[in-house]
Amino acid sequence: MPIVASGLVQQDEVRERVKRLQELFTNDPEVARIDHRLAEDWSGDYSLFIDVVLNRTTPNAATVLRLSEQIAAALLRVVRSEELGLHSYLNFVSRPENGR
Amino acid sequence: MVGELPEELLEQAKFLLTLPPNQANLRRAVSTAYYSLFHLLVRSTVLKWNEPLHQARIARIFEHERMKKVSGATIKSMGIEIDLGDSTSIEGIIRTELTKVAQAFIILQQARHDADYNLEKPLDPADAMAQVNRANSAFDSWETTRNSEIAKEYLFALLFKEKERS
Repeated sequence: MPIVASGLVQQDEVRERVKRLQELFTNDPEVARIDHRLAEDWSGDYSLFIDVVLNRTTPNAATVLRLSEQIAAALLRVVRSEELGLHSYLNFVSRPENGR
Repeated sequence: MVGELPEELLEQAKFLLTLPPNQANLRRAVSTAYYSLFHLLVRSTVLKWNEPLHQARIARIFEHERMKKVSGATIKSMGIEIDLGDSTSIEGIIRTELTKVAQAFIILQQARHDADYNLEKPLDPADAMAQVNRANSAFDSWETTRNSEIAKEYLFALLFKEKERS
């Protein structure tokens, strides 16, 4: 499928763009890290999955809403995955109880 | 036909987040948030037809996957022209808000699928909060852009096979 080929060929470009996204939030005290992976979505489209790991086990609503808006905007502005033939998905993960 | 269903679904999604954060409530909240936006777009399209019978038939034509692909193509077509938060021109704001709607639709669709079918890991309460907020923000964005020509083109493309990603 062309979409898969396009995504695979451009893995380095994806990694570079995600790195720029991660750098934007390096100093945000609420963000532990931002992970990414390339995988098929529910319909089989090769896609970019962004997982934002938060620094709190129970983050407050204001923090989640702020980061949700800011990171979604950064996906459009910095990552621009649709240019590369990839949908971007954004999820949040609270810090596990064991702190890892 | 659809009435206030989109707004009712969005309110229901928010209400579910006020309940104890068990997996049933969190997953239903995310799924409901997606369908609130889905029905908002469906209603916006079918109301362009006056005949209620036609509206009901048209509403059944919408396909989730095609809507996702069209939303992706819409984001791509806006490209670097979107100017998040910086634009002062009405056209710039409209394009940016439509892009946000398209992005929210794509993200929520996958979130809904995970909420309903992916039982490998529990749905995080923070993620449920973010997804419901995403739908809420998309409603606001849609209100800003819905009467624009590009929004009408977006709705047309959602319904008819034309603007899918190649």
